[in-house]
Amino acid sequence: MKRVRCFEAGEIAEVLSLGAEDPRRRHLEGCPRCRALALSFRDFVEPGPVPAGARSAEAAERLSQAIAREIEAGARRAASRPRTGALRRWLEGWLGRPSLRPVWVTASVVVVAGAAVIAILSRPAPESVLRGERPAALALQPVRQQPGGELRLRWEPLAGAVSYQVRLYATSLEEVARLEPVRVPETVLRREALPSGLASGTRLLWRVVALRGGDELALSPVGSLRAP
Amino acid sequence: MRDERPIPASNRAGASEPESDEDLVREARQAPGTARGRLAASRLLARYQERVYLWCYRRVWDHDRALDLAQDVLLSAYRGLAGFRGSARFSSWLFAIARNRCLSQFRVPDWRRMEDVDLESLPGPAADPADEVTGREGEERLLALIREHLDPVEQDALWLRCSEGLPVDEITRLLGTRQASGARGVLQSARRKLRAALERRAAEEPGAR
Repeated sequence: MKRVRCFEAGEIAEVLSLGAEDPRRRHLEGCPRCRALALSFRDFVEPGPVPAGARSAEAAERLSQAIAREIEAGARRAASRPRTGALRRWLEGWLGRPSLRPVWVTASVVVVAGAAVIAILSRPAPESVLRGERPAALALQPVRQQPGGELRLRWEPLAGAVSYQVRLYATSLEEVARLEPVRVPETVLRREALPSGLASGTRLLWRVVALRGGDELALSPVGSLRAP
Repeated sequence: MRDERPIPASNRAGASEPESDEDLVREARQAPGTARGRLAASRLLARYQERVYLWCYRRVWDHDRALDLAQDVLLSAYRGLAGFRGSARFSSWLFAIARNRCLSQFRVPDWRRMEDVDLESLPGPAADPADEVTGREGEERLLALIREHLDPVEQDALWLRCSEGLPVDEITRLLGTRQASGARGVLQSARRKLRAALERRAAEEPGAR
């Protein structure tokens, strides 16, 4: 009978879902190494009560922010990437004409060099980290509740920014709302700005995007607030 | 003039989450550059962020270190999502990343590292039997020895301590140990039995030492 090997961590959920008679499941039941792996995995998917000293809510919030930053940075990188396929086809069509070849070769060098300079200049900021220094510009100020229940949102201004837009996200990182851009580093969040199905008091994440024309100059860190 | 009129929000908040992990993985992988793909990835990771943190916390018992580890795990998972083949469950895959991160950062598998088992109180020769096992026989032989001489609870406790790197208190919790001394007592008993078995075998096969 073929000997069943021990499992890798990446296989353990599948093995646990097998019936008791399956040879791989039987191996798991009889192997201390695989049983320990399975116990550890069960502890991962069903963590039980929060242990003393763990700050689970704070961790969830900060991890949400870190994931949001990473995803947004990925999106910006993707948006700034040139569409090489279409560009190449276009260039090939033109450069294929023998009479124009020297001209277009020179032009393409200029275009590529220009694109490289633009790409370098528009390269997104280095990857955000959970802890460490943040630039002071666009730093979020504490959210203040107004007498009418609405929230005043404020942040540090950014040199060169023409306007600012506040974006709001659910803790699942789904975007909930965008406020209309404002020219000063503050705005007021009213109940009407949020979807009708969103309960008052729901925890939301918010950030500010500094704008100039149609360009996004910079993103603020992510803050947290309770929906008015 | 300041303009504070809000743009009407699309009514997407509060949507239910009927998708399975696999649905979200598929969506994130099929459309990685789109808002939809990014949303799927973020929802998928949001489901696990607390679990990853707690799992890491139970290994390091320090909020900041656990947070750093959890961030490392989740961002690695996001960056590696395109390469995730889907042959394994997402939960297993993420667990493997978390386990690798924790084990590689804080310890290397070392059968000698059982300081909390109170070696000095154990009878027998000065040489640590676990050292001998590591040096001469390797993990497979040790597994066979453990199976033969230890009861299942002792087997699990020993492996959770030495291979999974769990603190003793966490092993007590996971195994639901009823002994007053918790997993510490189980580990001491396991170690005593293992030492005796090794000594017996050394006596039977002098050349094996």
